[in-house]
Amino acid sequence: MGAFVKDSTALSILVQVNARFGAGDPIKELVELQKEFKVFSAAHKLRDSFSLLNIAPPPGEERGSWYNYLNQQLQTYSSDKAGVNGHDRIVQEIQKNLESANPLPMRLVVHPAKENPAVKVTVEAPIIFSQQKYLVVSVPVASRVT
Amino acid sequence: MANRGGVELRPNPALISSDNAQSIEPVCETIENYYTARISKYGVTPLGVDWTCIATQELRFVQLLKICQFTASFSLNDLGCGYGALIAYLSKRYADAGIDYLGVDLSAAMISNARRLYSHRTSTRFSVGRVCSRVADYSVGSGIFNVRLNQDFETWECFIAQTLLDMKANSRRGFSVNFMLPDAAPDVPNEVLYRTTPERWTEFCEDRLDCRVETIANYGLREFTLLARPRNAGPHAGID
Repeated sequence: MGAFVKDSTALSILVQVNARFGAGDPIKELVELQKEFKVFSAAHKLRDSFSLLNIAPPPGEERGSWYNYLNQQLQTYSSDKAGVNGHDRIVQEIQKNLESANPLPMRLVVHPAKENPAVKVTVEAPIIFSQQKYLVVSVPVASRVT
Repeated sequence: MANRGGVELRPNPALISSDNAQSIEPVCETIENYYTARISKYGVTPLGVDWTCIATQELRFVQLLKICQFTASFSLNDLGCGYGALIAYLSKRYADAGIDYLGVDLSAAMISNARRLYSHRTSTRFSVGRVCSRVADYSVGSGIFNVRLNQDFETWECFIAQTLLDMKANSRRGFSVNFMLPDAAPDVPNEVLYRTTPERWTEFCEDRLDCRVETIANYGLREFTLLARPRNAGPHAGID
């Protein structure tokens, strides 16, 4: 993601996603939205789902870059599931989680693409002072070429 | 005394009085200025009407429209219609429903945008104002009581009471509105938002407006929706 949008945009998106998918009220809200509108499913691109939730930079060039990243770049990434690209892996896991009996909050994190070029999904407690388990989605990033 | 949102309330038996309409005029002016500024800044987007996103905005419409019986055509007043987002939702979910729609908003800028977007539609009208200018089968109001903008609590509740009274008068079969529930951290007073419990306005609609009231909560948002049906509208009005 870092190579396709400004650093500040990438940071802002991480904050937005982690707030909207956070523990407590936020994840309950998303569970209900999923129940009512099937926001995340194979029928919708991640770009459209995030757009519906207004998880995006302000209107302008960066918004276009973000949507391009979601729509096109993510599909070129591999994932930790054989035969499933990075985009579809994220959509499938979010859908499965939100529709599960005990949905977990979600954290979007990043890791260096040089070390692992694939999208990874795990369940863990990523906040060091909390035992709260999260669905952790980690996307590979590289620095933006300037 | 009740404590709502960290604010101690005095009982106010005279929420409805002949002076109300006049006393809430300054409130209306404040609301108008606020929402005109919002849409000027954010345009015809959910942020322009102070909602987080399309999805939560439409989740509220889902609840509010439970007042309506979609098996036959009907007329609908949309109070605080903003730029007409409800129309987009109705078009998606109820494209074949024959709905005679009137959108009303205090902000002329909102109505101007709504007309630009939707005035080509049949049976769709808009007007600037505080009350609906006609009697319809149903009236809905989404988020119209949430942002009280430093108005004192009593004045804001007078505004709510008067608005509910007007909605009842302009709705043959029923009306629906939503309210924010008290915050998880009630010790922090919030001078901008109005939060309340269902009992406060359920009792008002039942006792003062002579309605049967259904409360909808637990739909993922920290709020509730009231569906109010006038008792004289019959036992099954608006129930699918």
